[in-house]
Amino acid sequence: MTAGARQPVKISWLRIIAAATVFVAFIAAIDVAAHGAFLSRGNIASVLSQISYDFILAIGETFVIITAGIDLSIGSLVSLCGVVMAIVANSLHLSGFLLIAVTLVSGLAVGALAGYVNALPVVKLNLPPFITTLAMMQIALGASYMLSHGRPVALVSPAFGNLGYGGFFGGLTGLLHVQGNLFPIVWMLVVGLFFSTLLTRTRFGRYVLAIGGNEEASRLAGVDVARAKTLVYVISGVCAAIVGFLYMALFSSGSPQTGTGNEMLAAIAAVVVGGTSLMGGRGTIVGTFFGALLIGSLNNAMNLLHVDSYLQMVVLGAVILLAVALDELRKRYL
Amino acid sequence: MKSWYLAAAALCLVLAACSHSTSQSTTSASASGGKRIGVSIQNREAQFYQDMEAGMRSEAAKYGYSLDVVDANRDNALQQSQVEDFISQRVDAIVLTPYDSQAIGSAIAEANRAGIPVFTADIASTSRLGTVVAHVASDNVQGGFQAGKLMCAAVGGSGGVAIIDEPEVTSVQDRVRGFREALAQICPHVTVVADVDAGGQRDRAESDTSDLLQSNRSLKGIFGINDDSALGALAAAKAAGLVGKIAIVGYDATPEARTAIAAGQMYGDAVQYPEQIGRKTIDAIHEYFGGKHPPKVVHVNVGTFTRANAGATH
Repeated sequence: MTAGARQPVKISWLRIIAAATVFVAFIAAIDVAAHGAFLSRGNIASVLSQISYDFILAIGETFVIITAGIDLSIGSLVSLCGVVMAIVANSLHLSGFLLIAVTLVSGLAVGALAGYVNALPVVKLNLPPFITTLAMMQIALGASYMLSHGRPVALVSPAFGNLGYGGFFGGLTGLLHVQGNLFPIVWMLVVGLFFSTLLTRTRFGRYVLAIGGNEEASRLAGVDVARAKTLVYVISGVCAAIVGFLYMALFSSGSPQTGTGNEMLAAIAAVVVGGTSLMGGRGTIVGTFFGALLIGSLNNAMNLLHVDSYLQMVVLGAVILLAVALDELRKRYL
Repeated sequence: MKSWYLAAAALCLVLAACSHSTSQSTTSASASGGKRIGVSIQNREAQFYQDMEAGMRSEAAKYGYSLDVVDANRDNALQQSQVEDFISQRVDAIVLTPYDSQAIGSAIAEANRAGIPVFTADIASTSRLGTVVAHVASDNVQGGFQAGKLMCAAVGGSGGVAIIDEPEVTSVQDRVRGFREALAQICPHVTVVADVDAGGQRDRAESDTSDLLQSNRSLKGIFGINDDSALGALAAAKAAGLVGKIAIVGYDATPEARTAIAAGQMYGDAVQYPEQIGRKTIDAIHEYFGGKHPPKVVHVNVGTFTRANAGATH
């Protein structure tokens, strides 16, 4: 919230290069330890598809955190949107592309609406987003359980389960010589590029960064703070809806339990490890991508090396702490 | 900033109070004059427990008992307070499906002190505290053995298989023990090469299995300790292009698993009869109310479900 927290764009490129260097060294070490299984083409595809869910969630969270806010409801929104989409898909008498499109739009609408509701008390009553999104976390999860009666809603149409196989994606997997589900990866790239451009190349993006740097000054400079902040929560809701859609397609089923594990914390961790300041005013989507990639590769590497799953939790927590602490030290002394 | 945290704390309190009061509100409508039985289920949303609850309800209706069923929502503290609520309401018996087999002991002991008989269904107490009249459950060791038999039939003579595990849960430990026993007896050259904890959750089972398939390319089979684990493994196998080539055996035969089995994507499931567990629990309570002593442990057998059954049952 301090005005001095804003830094010129050049610095953030330096941090990205530094992060990438550390990352490459880390990857090489793991690959040697895992006898080459880590850098195999199939495993790279597998890691990328695993991180797509957390990364897309983290994109929305990045926008929110840059404005010095927080969105705790994203995990529950993944659950709610997945369930709503499964119910909608099962009740529509459509098939093929039209079914998928209408279903997706219904989920996005729910996500956007929930984001709007999150933002309303924040901009109108100046309530802390921690509270409003905590409330939404409960409301959305309750609604998800109510709508689904607590059970996974299995999709009747086979259209969703085949997304990512055959057609365009079949051609792509053949072209790249990989076995794997490229569907979430393609979504991750498209959504990531879109929102990265929105943040760095548009007036709205500059407003978001300015609000996080100094909200009052931005207001005085003529920025429509309420509108920009509302949009930020809507983006977060939409990202959660996309993740809900991807999980639903992956499992051919909308389950109220999906998204209610560590997803929200993993997304926030990816944002913070990626260099976005919790105080607001600073952050990039590219950084968040590397944050998600670091956490995802670490998880994957520990599985490949057969590290005990309880130890994995300890290591992951320690790495998050270390990454943020190192970043702070670098800012002070470099 | 300070008011901010105060507000957060206040809200947490309100939410806690709300969830507490809803668990009580369901208990008021039992003025039938018959015996009242309080039931606290660790995770009421699960299909399995809904079936168990349905079995309890129909059997209780037969005897004219009324049931108060509450959801402990995978929360030890909540389950403890639900038992305390039952005690203060002076119910005639308590049925528990503990979330944590060890932690439940103190709640059982409290009910004992109040003179209320406690029964456990599906998941037993492992605590030294408290006394349970009877425990009614699937024979999970036998069920795991059934799953192991399926795996042997699917994989054949030799090869490596993996277990998608949730080792914190007693019933799962039994399943895995039975599974390993079956392999050792029936197909000793089939070995367990990996045993990973995916918490019984579909998304974690999916990502853990895709990692497994990267490091163990020759994997021939996967045993999911519940159907969420097995269906998560199936999604990973699909991405790796291994559907049908890798034998996936699950546990519970939920509708989604049955569909996958019918389609030949999963090999088969061990199938429990939760409805029977519910019925036999109420039967045990009925015996106890009648002054008899039901057996300490009531076992309900576990069957199998394969593609051959799929046509007939689904």
